[in-house]
Amino acid sequence: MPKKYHIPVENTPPRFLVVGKYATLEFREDCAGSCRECVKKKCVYDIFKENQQHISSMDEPEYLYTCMSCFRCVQECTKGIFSRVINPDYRSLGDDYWHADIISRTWYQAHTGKIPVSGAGYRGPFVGKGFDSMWTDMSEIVRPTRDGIHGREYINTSIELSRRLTRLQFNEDMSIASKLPPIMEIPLPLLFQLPDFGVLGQGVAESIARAAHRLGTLLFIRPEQYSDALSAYTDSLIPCLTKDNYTEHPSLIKQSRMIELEYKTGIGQEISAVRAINPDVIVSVGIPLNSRAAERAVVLTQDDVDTLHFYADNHGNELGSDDPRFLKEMIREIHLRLVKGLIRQKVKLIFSGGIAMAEHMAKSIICGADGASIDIPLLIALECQVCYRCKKDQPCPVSLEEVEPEWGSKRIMNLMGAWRNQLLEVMGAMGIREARRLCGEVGRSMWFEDLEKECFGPLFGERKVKGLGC
Amino acid sequence: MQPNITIFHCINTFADGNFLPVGDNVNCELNMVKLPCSGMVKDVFLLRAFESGADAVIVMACPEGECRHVEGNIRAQKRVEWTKKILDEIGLDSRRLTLVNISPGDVNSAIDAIQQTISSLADFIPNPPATVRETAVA
Repeated sequence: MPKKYHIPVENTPPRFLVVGKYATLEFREDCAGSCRECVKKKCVYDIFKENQQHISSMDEPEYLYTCMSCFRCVQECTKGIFSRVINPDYRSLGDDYWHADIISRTWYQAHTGKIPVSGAGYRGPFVGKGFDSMWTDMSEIVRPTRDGIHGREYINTSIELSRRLTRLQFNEDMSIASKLPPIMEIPLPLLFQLPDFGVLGQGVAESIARAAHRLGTLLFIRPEQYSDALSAYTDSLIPCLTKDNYTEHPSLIKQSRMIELEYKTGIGQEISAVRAINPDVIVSVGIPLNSRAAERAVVLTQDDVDTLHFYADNHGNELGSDDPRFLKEMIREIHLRLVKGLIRQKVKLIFSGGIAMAEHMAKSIICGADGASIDIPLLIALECQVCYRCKKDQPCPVSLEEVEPEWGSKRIMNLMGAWRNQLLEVMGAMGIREARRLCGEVGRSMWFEDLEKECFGPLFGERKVKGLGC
Repeated sequence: MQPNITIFHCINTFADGNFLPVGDNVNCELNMVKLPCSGMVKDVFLLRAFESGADAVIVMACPEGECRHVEGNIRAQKRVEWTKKILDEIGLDSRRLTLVNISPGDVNSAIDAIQQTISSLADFIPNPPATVRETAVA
């Protein structure tokens, strides 16, 4: 039996104190003093014990916000001296898409490699924008011993990045007559790319490349970002070339397993030229995710491209539109256009931009993507606070320029381990054992728009105001 | 060297002290510490601020009866009084530490309190830790 794919995780503490969410407000003047039922001694996370140590060493007050929000102290204190508060710095983390909860949970996963669990349960809204208006069908969740992380049966998360023939042809002696294209498979439906902002020093690039190498996935990288330190990971790098500069990098094309060409009209000639240099290379084309993306996908698929890589903006929105559609609608459009043209099987679709959580990866695949490419979550795993100070040439609060590659790669592997475990849980609960089988499987999902139409449409008619939360 | 003032403020008075329009005529270094409630202020934090070189410390709390946590501002007042005694005992002058009650969004009162503190700084002897730090830098 072949060895199961497994991501080793290892506790990798952060270099700086994390911006915690909760703290307890304590009116200690009301404390009974030598109470035998003192909840401070009963705290399962030893928060109060650690607080005492911090106070004795006069540390900065960030340590206050390490509470896990289990409410035990609030509920059980005989004098009721505790109440729970939220750290004001936590509230101001990130932006309206990369919000504090996403950042905080990514830090946790990068630290521990475990799936984050909320102590006080989910108290958020029923539905939200983007991926939050879509749910996965967990109706097969009744078999925890068979499926999921601890299940006895293997769930395959690998995907292909190479093109496929739509049919095979055979000779009279039943040998294959079709010329088979090269096959390339990665064990995760995730690829990496370097973000378009952030302190992208050598340590950050090497951390990501090393993690990609160990995980068996790939990193999209521009030729000018190559360095001697990355030479050990050549197998895991995808050079992103353009129509103008690909002739300057024949050695990169020869040594790489996969390359990406930026989309330009008439790119077919360059694809042929690249294959002439290295016939086994897998060719991807990077396409901006705009209103013309679907029609370009159809043309490029007929040109025998292996993979199409669509770039949305950092919030997962369509580019170049006053009224942008979200990633999930764009994926559906492209996927269905290819299905309608009977060419979906030929090509692989990768989407990047706005993939912030493990569930976004699973939901993208359900919408019709083969895989996703991530950038900002990798930076967050290295403790980035998405404060955008680097964009204003201000110093990074977590000194990303000083990241040590071994530490950084462990943090990224932890994050990927947690994400893969979540994908396994979702797929196990859906009764699906192959990430490839999940692609376009919208029958295993529920969409708010459809449910609303189904439930309330007959009573109230069509929605008069566009969008959610109106 | 500019005077250094540390301000502990409740986020219910104003969301972020770093955006206070103090103006260019305020010639001092302001170090803002946001707190979910002024009741989170402890004597160790106040003393820690002085130890770090603050020439004055201001605690900005909600007016009495308006605390979101019922009596956080009253607790803060008590802790400030307690810390003032310690400051007097160690010869640092308790007037360096003040608590002001500010209604939510009343930016003008906050700026007035800062300016008043700056003008009173001339009466105090320099904070010893700050002097040590300046000497080390020199």
